Amino acid sequence: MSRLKVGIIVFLGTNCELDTKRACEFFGWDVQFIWQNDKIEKPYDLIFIPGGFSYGDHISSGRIAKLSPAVKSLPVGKSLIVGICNGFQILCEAKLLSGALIDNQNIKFISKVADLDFEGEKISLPIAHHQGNYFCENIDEKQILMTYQKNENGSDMSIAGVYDRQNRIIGMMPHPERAIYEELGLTDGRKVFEFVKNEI
Amino acid sequence: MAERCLNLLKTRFEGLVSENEYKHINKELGHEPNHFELQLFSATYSEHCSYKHSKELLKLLPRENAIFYEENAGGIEIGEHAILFKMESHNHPCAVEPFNGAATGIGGIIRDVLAMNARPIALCNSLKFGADSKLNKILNGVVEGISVYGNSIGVPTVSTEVLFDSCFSENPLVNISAIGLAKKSDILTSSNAKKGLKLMLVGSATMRDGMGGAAFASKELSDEKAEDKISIQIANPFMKKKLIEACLEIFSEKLVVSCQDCGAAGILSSTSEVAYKSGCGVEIDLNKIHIGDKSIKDFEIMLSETQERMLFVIEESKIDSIEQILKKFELEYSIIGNTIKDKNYIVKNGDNILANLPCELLVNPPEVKLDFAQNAGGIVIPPYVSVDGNCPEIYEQYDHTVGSRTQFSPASSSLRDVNLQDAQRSNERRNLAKAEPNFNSLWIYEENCFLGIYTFSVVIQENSFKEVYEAILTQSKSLTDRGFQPKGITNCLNFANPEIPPTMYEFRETILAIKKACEELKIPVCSGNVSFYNEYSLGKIKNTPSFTMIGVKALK
Repeated sequence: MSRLKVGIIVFLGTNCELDTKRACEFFGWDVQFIWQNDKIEKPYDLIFIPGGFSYGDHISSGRIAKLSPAVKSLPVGKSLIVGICNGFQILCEAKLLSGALIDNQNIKFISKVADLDFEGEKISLPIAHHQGNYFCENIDEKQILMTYQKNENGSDMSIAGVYDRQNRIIGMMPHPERAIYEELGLTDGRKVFEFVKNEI
Repeated sequence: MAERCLNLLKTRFEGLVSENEYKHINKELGHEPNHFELQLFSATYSEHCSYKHSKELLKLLPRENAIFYEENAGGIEIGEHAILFKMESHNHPCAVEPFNGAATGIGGIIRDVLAMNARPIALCNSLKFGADSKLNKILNGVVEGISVYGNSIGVPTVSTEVLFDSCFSENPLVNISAIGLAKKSDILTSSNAKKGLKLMLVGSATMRDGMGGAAFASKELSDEKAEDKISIQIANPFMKKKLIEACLEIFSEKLVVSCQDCGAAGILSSTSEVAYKSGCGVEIDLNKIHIGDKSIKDFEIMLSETQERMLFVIEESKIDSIEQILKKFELEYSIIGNTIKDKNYIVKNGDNILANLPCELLVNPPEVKLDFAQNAGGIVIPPYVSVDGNCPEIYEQYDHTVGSRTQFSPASSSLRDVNLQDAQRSNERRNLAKAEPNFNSLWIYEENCFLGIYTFSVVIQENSFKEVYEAILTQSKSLTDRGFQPKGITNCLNFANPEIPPTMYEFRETILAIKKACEELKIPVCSGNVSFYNEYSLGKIKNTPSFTMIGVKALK
């Protein structure tokens, strides 16, 4: 079987691209970075939009990144697209996912390990965000990917991650790429990566 | 007659340098410095830049097994890699403008590590606030500054110490250390320049912000805060993130000969330090510098502390290649001058020479007389109140886990116990986070080992020697107990006015205690910073040295 081809979009201000690449390589996937100003032309099985502060979160998180050539040329329907943290915010801004991510209920940055319900399992993943409070109107229950066991940031229905209607785009606030290694004690991120692979 | 002459002269140098310094400059130059030159001296001779009250004593600290301890950040070796780390204070700016003060405190220390071609992999901090109502405003601002800046640039804040004591109510202490990881063979220094190279200033356009910050940090805080506000640098984490990635890409292609960050006294100190350390001279043309504020004056360009700037010393042939990378990261640059053979510091404005000084004279103020008297000086110390400082709500605002190296994060504990029951797990997490937020462990997967990090401080009560000595031994034992071999330490020494006893007495005792403890433990002091003049109108702080100690544990 040929190696999974993965693209990771990098914007000015992105800061989780190396972590995401390292996690993909842990699974033996073939990773390439995609620069913000480049159109996506190559066929990728999977495209990550990683976490960080694209364009310094100017105006609002994801507001400028959604206008970049890379995001505008996302091969929706062809590659599976996964946005993590800032990537989720960008996908919502670009209206590729429904809903919006607003300031956390306490108006503060929250960094901790959150307990989540995911695919019928209880898992723990790091969260680290200021705007992770998911706001949505009439979302289909089938679109909910993961929820916080204890609502950490005020999200509607405790939602931590969602699908689009066609199940070809995924967004999540937690950082599975930071929970891969036994050396760091937390390995539940593997379950998310393996799940994503099966969705392709 | 002589007195009248002196009074006349005084109007020339007063507020810039001391009388003794003025005489020294005259004698060494053989003529009087012009006003522009005096303004340069006012910055380089400030305590903040020159360490004039501390540099002789700092020579006592043990350095064996430390690498690059005379550079921007010192460190230790681990196999093919080096851990470069340093701690610095940003106390005065945080008293006036907590948010920007703390944020630019991170910005400054990150640049020290970055200038050596090390990727910053962790931040630690030691914070002291008052125990009164002012606390909330300063505390919230500082924590938000650290949170916004550190989180945005993608460097985890892994270890935090918070203490409350009323002696810090007007003068908080904000000490931040940065830890960088570099390949030993790729480390850049600021002492590698030679004649005939170009000086390239990269990053933000120079503005008036942070004007005279070095001199500001070298005086007591007054109540006239409006006047002080202009001295605060403005933070721009997005610019910093671009600068980090651009620098690391440029350095990885070996396009830079020598590098120095622009910190205190901006262009002046970065260029003069490179010239002095490298044993050459520099010639700078102010007309060539990219400026963001047209009303800026000549001496302000030299002293401005606009953030997010770096100085590269490069070969002319490399300009195009560097420019391409800077374009990608949307960063500005200018070629501001060149290195010369003569060991002189020359500043021009077009054809007009503004300053021409020997580098050695510019960076070395005359010796000051140190007063080691043990009796207290004139300042009355109010009774202080101390409060326990455990604040999980603070730690939760720092991104601990970006970089995928951190073992512990807030509200998490020994995450290794993944097989424990859920309830037991979350209990353990809470306990551990509560017990030691100032400890963490970083995975250096490149060398298959863990780095143990402790950040701690000593608020000196009575016996400076005993208290400092014992604290270092205790923390070292904590590292050993966790299986780490202590390898090195960095310090940030927050003291009151060195001209008034017993500050220098306690300072010397502290240095001797660090020396004794570190020699016994066989660990070097890899880097450090001294912050004097931590005083305000009504009193002074209790002298407080802070430390970050690191140890190494090999993975089987």
